[in-house]
Amino acid sequence: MVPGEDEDRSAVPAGPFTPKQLARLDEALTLSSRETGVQFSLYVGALGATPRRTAEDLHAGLGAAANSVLVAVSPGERRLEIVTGEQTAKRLPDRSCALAALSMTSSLTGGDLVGGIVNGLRMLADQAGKPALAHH
Amino acid sequence: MTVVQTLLIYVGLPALGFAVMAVLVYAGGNGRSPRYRPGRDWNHEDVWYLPRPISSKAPAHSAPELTGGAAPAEGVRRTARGGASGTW
Repeated sequence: MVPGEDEDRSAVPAGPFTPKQLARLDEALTLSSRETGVQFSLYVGALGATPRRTAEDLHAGLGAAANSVLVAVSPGERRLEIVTGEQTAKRLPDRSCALAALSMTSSLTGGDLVGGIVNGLRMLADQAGKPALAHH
Repeated sequence: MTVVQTLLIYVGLPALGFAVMAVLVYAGGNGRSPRYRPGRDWNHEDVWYLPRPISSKAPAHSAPELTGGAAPAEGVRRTARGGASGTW
């Protein structure tokens, strides 16, 4: 389900998010990706017994994995994973990811699913900076 | 003023305002799915959210290739280089 596509508004799927929330997520993902040149992807669903491994497998399935950052949130298991690829790991070191993860868990503890995700994406985008300033 | 008029103005109007507020508070908002609270079950399907393509070369409705399912075969190249985890 890609929010950017044209949806039949009369048949909004019974997903976890309202159209307004979907719009917020779509905007956050697209803006973050556009500002940084990094492909941010979001996965909301089960991560299973080995969440880190599952998240890394999901990241491997992305089209541009090396330049991607996956944010995987499992509300049922109360677990989130941030996975960076080869290029993005240089721009987003683990401590930047840890900062974003911490901010997200604070919001998520309070039940603010969409707000937590949006703030996490914004923090990651801020930490990643613009493409021209990236250290290669 | 008569008693009826007095009652209507000083009791009826505040009661009416109270009723309007109650309706706005409790009938407004999203009633379809309950708000997420930690500890509750999450019974929705797994969903992906992808940004709209950055490059102008990609058509508007394309999405990056995704392998179906969350468990690709063994031997898939490892692309993960870092990141973080969190629990709540």
